[in-house]
Amino acid sequence: MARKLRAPDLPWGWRSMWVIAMFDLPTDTPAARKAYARFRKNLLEDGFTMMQYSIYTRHCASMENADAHIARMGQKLPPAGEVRFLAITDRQFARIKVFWGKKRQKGAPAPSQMELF
Amino acid sequence: MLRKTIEIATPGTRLSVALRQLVIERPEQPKATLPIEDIGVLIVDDRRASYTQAVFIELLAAGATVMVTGPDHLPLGMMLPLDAHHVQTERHRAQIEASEPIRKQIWKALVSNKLLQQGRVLDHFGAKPNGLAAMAGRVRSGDPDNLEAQGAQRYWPLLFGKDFRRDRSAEGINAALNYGYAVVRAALARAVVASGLIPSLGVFHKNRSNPFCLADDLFEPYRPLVDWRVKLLTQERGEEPLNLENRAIRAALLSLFNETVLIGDRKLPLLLAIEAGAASLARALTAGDRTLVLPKSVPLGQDVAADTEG
Repeated sequence: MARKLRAPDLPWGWRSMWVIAMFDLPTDTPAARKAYARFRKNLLEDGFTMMQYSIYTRHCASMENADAHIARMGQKLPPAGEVRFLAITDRQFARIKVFWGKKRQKGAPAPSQMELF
Repeated sequence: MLRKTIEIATPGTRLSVALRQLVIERPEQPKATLPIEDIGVLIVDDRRASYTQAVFIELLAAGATVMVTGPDHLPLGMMLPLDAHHVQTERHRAQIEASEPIRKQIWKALVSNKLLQQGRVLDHFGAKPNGLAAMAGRVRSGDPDNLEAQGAQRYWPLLFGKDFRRDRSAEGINAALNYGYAVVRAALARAVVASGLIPSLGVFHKNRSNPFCLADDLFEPYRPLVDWRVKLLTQERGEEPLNLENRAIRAALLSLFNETVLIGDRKLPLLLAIEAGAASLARALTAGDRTLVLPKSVPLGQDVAADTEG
């Protein structure tokens, strides 16, 4: 039987996660636009960055951490509209293929636990 | 959660906070942002760095350690939150009132663990049988026989050769050791304060001018982990001297925080192991639970990618 891998035994690429927030929010009334702007600001304050319009991503050190961020954003949902959260491993996220026009572009490098600036 | 270690060393870096993210602006490079809550240690090794006050406020509020280094790259100072633990006054009182026997027992456990760790480091590098484990078993309460010093006399020549002398100001191996000790000690000092203890009131160290006596006591079992990393560096680098000007050397030493070690019966990255160790010291001093949770292995590996690009 396969041994269940505990956190430090799992390779970093399988342990660290990306949360992808995708949303369709109404902007037909001033109140709806305000709710939309507030939600977007909450995402940025929580450490999400914009990947495309209405698609924001955040790197998290573990599944537990990813769940915590999803739960936190779940508290801050706008009153109407649809928001989806998807968590995938860094390994899976790294296989993203990005095209700009017909040209292939390099994806962003994965963040690590130690960064030098 | 394991938090990130960030080193700033690009001349002229500007740090600020926007939307609760640390904003890092370097000359002629794209702006980088990092969530404040993900940062565990921020080391600024850039004489020309500039900050906004919000950087310190937000990092301290999030419980991160901020370290500033001097021209020799060694940490010169750090910032700690004043209000670190919800029952810290109660803990402070219990710590002050902890009896002499409790403090001596704790020092015994720390020295004994350090000797075991030194033995493990020597074993890892294939040195001859060193007897340090046996010595660890002979440590008595308060270490009246000073086995800690006897262990050091046996340990250093076996690790770095018989011409090696520990020196707090020398270059090469000593500089690398000093850097590693300084950053790990700073992380320990933060963990000690975050556990609601008074860092200046040690169980053994009593130097009148040392504000981190307790952190230095707890630090003893962690020193061999730094020694292990430095020894590995000397093997990796061959004849090349270990110079702290070289960013790769500093990065290799900082990467220790992400090394997995066995602590108690768990495997944890060092930065978390340090917090577990400080929490167990707080229990030992104030709640009568004498089991210290200390490192029990040399680093077991680092599966966390250490990135050298910003």
